[in-house]
Parts: sequence; structure tokens; C-alpha cells
Amino acid sequence: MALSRASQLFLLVGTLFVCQTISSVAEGPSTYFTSSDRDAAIRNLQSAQKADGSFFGLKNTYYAVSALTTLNAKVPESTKVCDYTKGALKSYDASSVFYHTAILETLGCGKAADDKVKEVIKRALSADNSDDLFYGVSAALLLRKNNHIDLPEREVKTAISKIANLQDEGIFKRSNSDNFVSIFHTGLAFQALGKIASGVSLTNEEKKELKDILGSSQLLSMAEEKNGALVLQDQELRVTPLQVTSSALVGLATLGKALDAKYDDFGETEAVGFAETLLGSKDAASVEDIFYVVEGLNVLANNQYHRPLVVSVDQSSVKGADGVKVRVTDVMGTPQRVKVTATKVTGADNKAIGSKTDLATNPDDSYRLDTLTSKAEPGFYELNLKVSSDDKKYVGIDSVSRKVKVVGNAVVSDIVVSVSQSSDSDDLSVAKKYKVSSFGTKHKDTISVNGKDHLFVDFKIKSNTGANLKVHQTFVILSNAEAGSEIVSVAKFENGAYRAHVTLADLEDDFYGKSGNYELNLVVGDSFVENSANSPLATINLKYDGTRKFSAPISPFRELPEISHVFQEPAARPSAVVSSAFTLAVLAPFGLLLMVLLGMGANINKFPMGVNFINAVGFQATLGAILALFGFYWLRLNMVQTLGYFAFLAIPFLYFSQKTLTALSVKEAQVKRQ
Amino acid sequence: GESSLFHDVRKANPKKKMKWTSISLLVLIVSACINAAVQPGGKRVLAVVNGLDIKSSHSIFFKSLEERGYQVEYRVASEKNIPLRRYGEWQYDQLVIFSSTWSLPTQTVLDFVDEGHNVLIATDSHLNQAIRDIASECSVEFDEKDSYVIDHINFDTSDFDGSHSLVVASNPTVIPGIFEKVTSPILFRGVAQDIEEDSQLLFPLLTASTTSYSHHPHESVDELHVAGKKTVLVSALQARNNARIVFSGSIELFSDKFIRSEVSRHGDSKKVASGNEQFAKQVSQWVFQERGILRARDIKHHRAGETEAPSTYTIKDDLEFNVVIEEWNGKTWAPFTAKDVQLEFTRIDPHVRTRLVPDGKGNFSAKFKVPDVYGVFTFKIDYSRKGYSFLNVVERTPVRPFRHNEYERFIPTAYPYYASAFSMIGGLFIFSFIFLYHQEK
Repeated sequence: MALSRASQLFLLVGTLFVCQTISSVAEGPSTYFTSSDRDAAIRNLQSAQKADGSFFGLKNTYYAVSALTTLNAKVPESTKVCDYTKGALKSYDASSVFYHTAILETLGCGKAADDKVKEVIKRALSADNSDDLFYGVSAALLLRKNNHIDLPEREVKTAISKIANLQDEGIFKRSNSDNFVSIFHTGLAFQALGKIASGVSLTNEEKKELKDILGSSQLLSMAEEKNGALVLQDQELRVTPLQVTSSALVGLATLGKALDAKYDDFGETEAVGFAETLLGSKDAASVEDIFYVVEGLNVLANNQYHRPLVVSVDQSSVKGADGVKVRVTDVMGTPQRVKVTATKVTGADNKAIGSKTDLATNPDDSYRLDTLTSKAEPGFYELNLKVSSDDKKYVGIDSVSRKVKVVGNAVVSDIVVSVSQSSDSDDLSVAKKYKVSSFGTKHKDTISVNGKDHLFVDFKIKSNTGANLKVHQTFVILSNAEAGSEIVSVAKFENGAYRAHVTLADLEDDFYGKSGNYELNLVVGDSFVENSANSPLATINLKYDGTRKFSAPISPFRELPEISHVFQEPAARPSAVVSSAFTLAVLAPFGLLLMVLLGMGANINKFPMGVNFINAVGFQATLGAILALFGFYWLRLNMVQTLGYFAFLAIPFLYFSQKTLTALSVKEAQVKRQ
Repeated sequence: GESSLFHDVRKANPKKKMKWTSISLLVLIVSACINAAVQPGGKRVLAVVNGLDIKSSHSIFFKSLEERGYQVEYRVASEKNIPLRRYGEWQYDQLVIFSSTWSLPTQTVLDFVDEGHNVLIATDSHLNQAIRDIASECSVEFDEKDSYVIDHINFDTSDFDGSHSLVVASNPTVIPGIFEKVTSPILFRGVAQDIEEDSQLLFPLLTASTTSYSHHPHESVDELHVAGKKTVLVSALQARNNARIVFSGSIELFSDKFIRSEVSRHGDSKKVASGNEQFAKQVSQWVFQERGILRARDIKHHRAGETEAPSTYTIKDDLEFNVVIEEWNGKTWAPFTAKDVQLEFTRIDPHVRTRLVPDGKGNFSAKFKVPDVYGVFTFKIDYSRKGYSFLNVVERTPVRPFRHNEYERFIPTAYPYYASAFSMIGGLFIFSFIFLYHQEK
């Protein structure tokens, strides 16, 4: 979808604006570490504490204790933290010893270092990697400061040459075995050197050496710019950009301050750019990230090169007579005493309002501009401010441009709901009109409308001053809670009034042709309007003629209707009496046969005797068995079984039948011969 | 048992090399058995982000993933060679895109999903065409670039200076057991979605309120793309292969800032903790297949009174069907207890559709009479409920008609036929005696 011309213009202006901020540092960051950011950070740190006082490990405990101390907040359960720390030193490596020492010394529960600790520190002071050197130097100087270690200055100074050996044109390696440099470790190296410079007395040569290292460092040329923010990154190591940036800044500031040396690369652009990066992470929630944000911002606020000032307009928008409240603070939110001048105030149409004025000072160290009062129409105003201060370290104050939002109340009046049969919006003379007495009250009658009617909603919106007000959201919503349908129409501004036109016939699909009561609502809203509201206008009784049929939407996730199979009905049968009668009729010939046989005096006198008796019995038995087999076939056997049995019976049957019939015919022949 | 197994292997394979291969093979088999109880989706997550600073700005969300055993790797979206697939093998099980841009081909993501992997996409109002294309492949349409969801009534007061695009949403979709009710309001700032309604695959997880709309904050409103309750903020899609995709129009929804925020809705004097953490966690649990996954096993069917499935059923048999359906609850497979699972017995059309009755221990059973229609029938469970994975069970069995000897044997109506046949047989037998052995006097 193509962007409209207006939004293209907006983008263009936006781009120009961003470019301007980068090339000059007339303007500092627009946010700072506010008191609510501080509260959130403290809350996050405290919520990370476990029952034993620790914050998940020695390292995180160190981060939490340091961050809370920098934020001037109390470390909760500090005795427990001390007890935990004392017991947590199990592996005697440089990092653990440093964390251990730092926590105990910060919380004031440190004691003289034992031999083991001393041994680790001594070894770390001549290590060949910047991690251990940093830990060793930091731990040694902390202990020395509180007389908890007996360590001559020259032993601490041995670290200088060790650290210097790791550098390559002012950028340091993590260790000599690495073939790449690390910005994060450059930060650590600078911090270590800075701590030495401020913790022990250096000769002029030594000071010069350190100044040369700082002066030659190309560190900041490696910063990448992203939307006006400057970020330092280490590609090779698993360190987040926030940690790298913060570590480098703390290093530069610590060393610079200890030597009271200049570092030209750290210009105004850098001060503001790094502030943007750190402030961009001010919502960080993990203990580690909070530590890096807080430490980084703290040195930015107090560094000796350039300190970015933050000119901010107070959060709550300007309501009527309040005036604009401007705060000038450092990045950590400490108010700064300066002179603030409003050079120009312009409204949405670029018209200048008022003349150049100095801002009055409020008792809470903020500044007040009274030009924008209740007379100003709601909208965005651009405030051009110039901040002047005697302190030359402050940057980002020459020409600060801030947007101010002035909010006001919208007065909605002359609300008329018209029902017309025609879509012609110009002629509503024959339309039925319903006046809604005020925005916020509902019309007492239910308005009956036909599905073919047109609904017009007219109203006016004025500001407090009585001028016409154009607002962003003027929606007329027709809804039916039961069906869950909701149709939004936009009311358009024309000739000083708003009008929404709802063609009810078009909504038939959306409402599934459902007649009944619908709610008509008007929503008036804008970001400049304080009393944005959604108010019912009337109940609409909508009648569709029902010629079109709609089926309600069907959920695809529903249970389907049950199906039970309908079995085929058995065919109707004649009654048992009929079939019994027929059975008797069918049996009658059999009975007749028996009677005839008996009547004619049937006998079996010819039944063979002697040897042939067995043959005849066999013949009759097998014949009977074959006939019975038919019966069994009908009752339980299948064709294959039946044929098997039949084959079995057929052999004796043929044998006996042949013998019996032969015997009978021989006998008959004999009788005939006789 | 394991040590004796190893012992046997050693004895059987005196050569040292062979022994170790076998042992590692055994270890593989043993670990495969243990893995049988692991989560359906995998644990390797690739997070493609706008910038690595998201690791700190969204640390709570990613920490909760890591606490649940995911290994998250981060890549910046602008990188050209994100190694999602290497030599044809997917390197990750889950993909998180927390970015307004995507520089790999759209098809890569679609292939990833087609092969059953899950994707969580959160973007913002500056989304690029590639993200938009991925969404539109899933019937999700993001509103125009630089448009925001705006609500002048339900916005957070911290956005009083802005354009009221920090909206407070309070009606996330509730599906018991999968999406529990989030009582606290949810903060959202980003782009709106318009999704296909009444789809079996796609449903909203979070929608805006009646008074909301989606538009460019600084342009006058002439036409609306989406407005009111139809404005979808977060949507969920479950593909036919049960791969899941969630689209969120806001990356900030998952941020530490929103999670830690106290919501003060304009007009409410009370501040409440935001529900973003709970919502984000539930979304990630669903999309990574920790919730709402169903599986069916031990499908059994037999005639009433028997225990083994016959090779074929006869029409009008009394049939019993049993299946175990389980739900993955994030840790184990637990018995599924829904009462609306249906079984169909289908030949071309379903002839029987009946509820499967659960016993609460995961066993579902149904009893019915086989229809008097013969052919190859299919037992079919096609269970699709919002939020749950699709459960498809298909099992075929033949059904045959009665054999000739299985019909009714003594039909009263047919008695005349029986009588005629048997009287003929009887008559023949008696007549054979008279015919052969009768002697006239």
C-alpha cells in the first residue's frame, strides 16, 4: 500500500531531523535516568536477591552491590551479603578474589587480606591478560585504601608495564595469545590504569607514559552510529554492546580523570551518542545490565570531558493553565542550575506564538514557560530552547527542540440522528430526526428503522475556546452484543460539522440479516483530547425484510452431530397360521403315500437273507446317511464339507447298492425260471 | 540391566573397536528410550532480532525460555547468512523473529513450518515486506507501514504525551489448560492485524477493545482498515501438520519494560502490574508445543466379549473401540479428559458418529453395532479444538455380509418348503424299501 503524500513528507522531515542531530550536538538526549527508572532499577536489583543474601553467585552479587551503591540505595540485608561473600570464596582465582574484596570493602565488612588472597593478587598483578590485571589492580587498591593489605606501591606499579604490553595502538587485547583486540578489555585496561594513577603516586615519566597510551588510543573511532546513538561492539567476544560501551566509557573517564588529561576523540557528539545508547537500555532488568547502565551513566554525568545535559518537558502534557514544565538535568537526573530561554514556540501551522522569553524557575528546580496556557488550542507545539551555563563541560544545550502536547476538552454538541429513505445526504428535510440532548446521555426513544433506510449522525465538536476542533477518531458504532457484531463508520468533517452516513442495507451481511435492537454509539477521541469517550446515542430497532437468508457463522471447532446407523427393516412375512396350513398341505401327499402303502399291504418280504442281508442293510443305511447329509448340509455344513462327507459315503453306497441290486435281480431271475 | 548388557557386549565382541561402537550404539538406544518422554517440539531456538540489545531489553522473556531448557542463539535480522538450514538439515527446532525485518527468503520460513517447526513472530509498525509476506501466507494481514493500534480510551497514561498507541488490552483468549485467564491488563504498542474469521487454523489470542482502531497517528482518518474488537493484536496459527505460528504486532509486548510496567489505564486511579509476563509465557509455551499437544496410542477394537481384533467384521456385529488419548502438559503425557471426542465409522460417508467416553485415565471407548453395509470401513477420530493440536486417527477394517450359514435357519414362513423337501426325502427312503423288497402275495 502506497504511503500517502503526507506521510512521505513526514518521513522526509523525520530523516532531516535525525541527520541534523548527528552533525551538530545542539541538542542532548531527550530522556534521562528518571526517579521512576531509578526506583525500577532498585526494585529489579532487590528482587534478584536470594534468601542467603546473594544475588545468584559472587559476580552478580558484586554487580548488584556496586549498582545499588552507585544509585545511593541501601543494600538490603547487608550482613547476610557479607556472610555469604565471606563463605563464597572457594576458588582462589583473580576474578573471585576481586568480587569478594569489592563487596566486602564496599559494604564495610572487609578485613585484612589473608596470605592466600595476597598471593592471588600478587600473581594477578603480573598476569598476561587484561582480565586478571584489572581484577588484581582493583582488588589491591581497594585493600590498600583500607589498610587491609601490606603491598608496596612498586608492586602495584608492575601492572602498568604488563598492561602496556597488551596494547596495540592504544587498543588492548584480552590476552597476549589472542590475535584480535577487544574494546571491552580496553575499557578494563583503562580502568585499571586509571585506578593505579589515582591510587598510588606516579613519577612524571610514568604519568607521561599513561597519557601517551590514552592520547594515542583510537578507541572511539571504532564506534558505530545507529539512529544518533553510538555503540561500541566486540565482534569476537560474547559481550553485549551495552557492556562494551559502558566498560569503554568507564575506562576513558577513570583514566582521564586520574591523569587530568585531555582526550580529543571524546567530543560532544560522542558524549551525546553514548548517552543515547546507555539511556536506550535504561529499562534493563538483569542485574548485570543494570550495573553496566548505571556505571556508564554515572561516569557520563561526572566525566571531565563533556557532560551531556538533558532538557526534557515534563511527562504529563500541558493541561490548560498549567504551563509547560521544563527540566534540565544530567543523564542521571540531577537537576542543573542553568538559564533556560525559549527562543521560539510554534504551533501545528508553524505560526510563532509569543516572543523570546526566559523561563522562570520553579521551587523544584524545574523551569516554567507560561506562553502555552489555556488560550492555546490542543495540539502539538514545538518549543525551541536555549540553555546557557557557565560550565563549559555541558553539551547539547545550544538549541534544543522539544515537542509539547497541549491537551484540552472536546465539547460534542448538536447531535442529531436522522433516518432517511434516501441516500442523498444533502436533503434530510423529510428524514425523521432524533435530537440527542447531550453527549453522554442516550436518547429516550428506541428508533425504528427499516433495513433499507439510511442513518445519518450529525454532530459538532468544539474546543474549550469555542473553536471547531478536528479530532482523529469520530466513529459511529452500530453493535449487537448478542450476535457479537460491531460495525464502525467514520464520521467525516465537512463545513464545520461532522456527519456519519450508515447504509443499513450494506450491513445486512455483517449482521446476518438479524432484525432486532442494536446499540448506536459515538466515539470521540484524540490524543489531544482529555475527555475522549464512547457514549451511547440511542437504541435502534432494525428490521430487515428477511427475503435474504443467512446462516449464522459456524465454528470450525464444534462437536459434530451424532450419527447412528439406520438398519434395514426385515421384510414383512405372512402369518404363522398361513404357513402352518401350507405346511400341512405340503405334508399331505406324504401322508397319502403312507396310507396307500398300508392299504395295499406293503411288506418287505423280499428283504435278502443270509450274506446279502448285510449288503441290503448297508445299502439302506448308506442311502439313509446320504439323505441325512442333505439335512445336515442345510443345518450346519457348508458345500465343501458336504461334498467331503458325500465322497466318503458314496463308496460304500455304490458297493452295497451294486451287491444288493445284483442279488435282488438274480433272485428275481430264479423266481421267473421256476 | 544396563551393566549386564554391556558385559554381554564385551564378551560377544572381543575386538576393542567393535566393543566401543556397540556400546555407543547401546547408549544411543538407551538415550532414545529416555527421550521418548521429551517435549514434542525441540529445544534449539534461533532468535532473529533487530539488534543484539534485545538480549537486555527482553531479558526476562528469553530467561524464561532458558529456564525451560531452551538453548537460544541470537542473530541480527540484517545478516545475510543466517544458518537456519545447513546441508538440508534444519539447525533449529524453534524460530523466534523479534524484528521488523527479515532478509532471508520468505520461503525459508514457510519450509521450516512445513517440516513441523514452530515460529514466534513479533514485529512492529515498521515491518518490512518479507515479514508481511510470511504473514499473508498465513492469512494474516498486517496493517499499513507506520500505522499503530490507537485507543483514546484504553491507553496507558505513560503514553499521555504520545498518540495513545500504548494500548491496554484486557481480553486475551482463554482456553482452559492452554491459555489460562490473564487477569491483569496487557500493554501493547504496534501494528494491527486483520485475520480470516472462523478459520480452523487461525484464531486471535489478543484483541483490542471496541474503541480502538488502527491508523497512522498523524493522518486524518478517512477509511479504516480494522477497528473495534476485530482489531487483532496477537494471533495464533496451527498448520495442518500441527506446526504453530504466533504473530504479534508488537515486539515491546515481550519487553522487560512492559513486563515490569505498572499499568495505569487512563481514567483509572489504580495502578496494576501488567499481565505481559504471564501472557508472553503462555504464548511461548503454546507456540513451542509445550501445551495443547494431543496424541493417541493403543488403538484397539474387537467384537463385544472378545479381546482381539478379528480379521474382518460381519455386519451387525457388536463392536467395541478403545483408544488412549494423552495431552502433553509441559512435563509429561497426561491423560486427556475431554468429553467431546468423537469416533466416526466411515465408508465414503460416516455411517456412525458417536462420542468416545473417557474414563479419566486417558482411555476412551465407544460401543456400537456394525452397520448392515459391507465394504472397507475406517475408524476415524478427527478432533480439532481451538488451541489443541489436530488429532487424527485412521484405522481401516473390512466388513462383510452374512455367509449362507449365518442367516436365520428356521423361518416360519418357509416351513412349507422345509416340509416339502423333507417329506420328499422321507418318502424316497420309505419308497426305496417298498420298491425293492415288496413281495406280492
